[in-house]
Amino acid sequence: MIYIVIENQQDSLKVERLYFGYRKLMYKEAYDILRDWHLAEDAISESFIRIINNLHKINESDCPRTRSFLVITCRNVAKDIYKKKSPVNEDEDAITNLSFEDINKVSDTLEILIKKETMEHIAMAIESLEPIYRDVFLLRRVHGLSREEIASIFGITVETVKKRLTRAKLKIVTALEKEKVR
Amino acid sequence: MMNDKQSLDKTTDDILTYAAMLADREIGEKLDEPDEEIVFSKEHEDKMKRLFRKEWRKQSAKIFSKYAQRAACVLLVVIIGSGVAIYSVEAWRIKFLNFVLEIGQPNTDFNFSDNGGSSYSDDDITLEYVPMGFEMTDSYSTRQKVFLTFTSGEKYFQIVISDINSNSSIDTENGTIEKADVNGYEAVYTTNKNINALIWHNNELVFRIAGNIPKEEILKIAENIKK
Repeated sequence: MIYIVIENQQDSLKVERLYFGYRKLMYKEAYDILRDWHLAEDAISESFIRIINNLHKINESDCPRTRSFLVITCRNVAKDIYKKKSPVNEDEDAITNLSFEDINKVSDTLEILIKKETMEHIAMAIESLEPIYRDVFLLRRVHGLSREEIASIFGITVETVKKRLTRAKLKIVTALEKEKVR
Repeated sequence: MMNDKQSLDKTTDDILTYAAMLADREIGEKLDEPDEEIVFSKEHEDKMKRLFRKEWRKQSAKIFSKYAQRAACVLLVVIIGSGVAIYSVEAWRIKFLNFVLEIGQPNTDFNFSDNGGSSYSDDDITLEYVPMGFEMTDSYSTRQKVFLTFTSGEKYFQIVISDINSNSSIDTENGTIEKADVNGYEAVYTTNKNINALIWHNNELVFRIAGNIPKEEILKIAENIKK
């Protein structure tokens, strides 16, 4: 007889370790948005349900990157819960669509500015973005999630993810130009 | 080949990504865990436990499926290796068909019992010689090692194939040790308390055969392990 030994103890516990390691931090983030402890708990569990297929992209050790990933996720899940619970929503993504020319212009300006700025200034410009744009931008650029994966975690459409990514670039250009004027 | 514009876009993109990593680290460092005590409700804790259990089951199924696919490959190799003989002998054919049927079932014991033959294959390792009358009675694997046990009445031998970086040992206390050769690789042969053992490596894997069978048989098994 050949007995197959399933050795998945370590893998199966990763989600638990992340939960117990970061649940307080996630709770705080969710509670700040939802102002309801029960909904904040829901945001935590919902966050893990949504990221469970992307666990391999999360570093297990306690590091800023992991904290950032889980907090970004929880914040956006909390926003999604809030959006669904609130009868009247302000559509944060109701932004004017950028034309193809505008997008090209943003890319060109960004290219010029980036060449002149120091890495710290660009990082600061990214950091100063509103979370709605920054979160999508960081998950895409730093954590390597696809637009589809981000859309699924945040409960938004892929089209919205694309809009926010473009918008983030535009905001970075604006921030760097402001910095140049000073 | 990238043109200048594409190359410039790529550079801009890389700079932006690197800056994003710096920003992300800065943000992550500023995130402090709250000092106040947070008590989570039992309902929430139960929900999380259910999620963990579900995930555990999913992972188990995934790993089982991986092993099942490997087992299917093993079967294929064995069929190819055994060639026409398998299909020309009715008893063999039935056994192999049964094996195929069992793969799809969860918690299946993979059965190669009573082969009466002289070969066994697992992934890319093939045992081309197994002494007559021996059958595999136990086999399991860990992340670094594969253990195969063959028995015939009171006689037995075990083959352990492990990663070169893992540890392997043979009890040599009060035993005799001598050098041996396995297909050009230097090996160590030991005899201790009626247990004979042979250990060698091929720069990638470490092989160990130990049991109460004669030295000649151990060497023959060793020389016929093909990769």
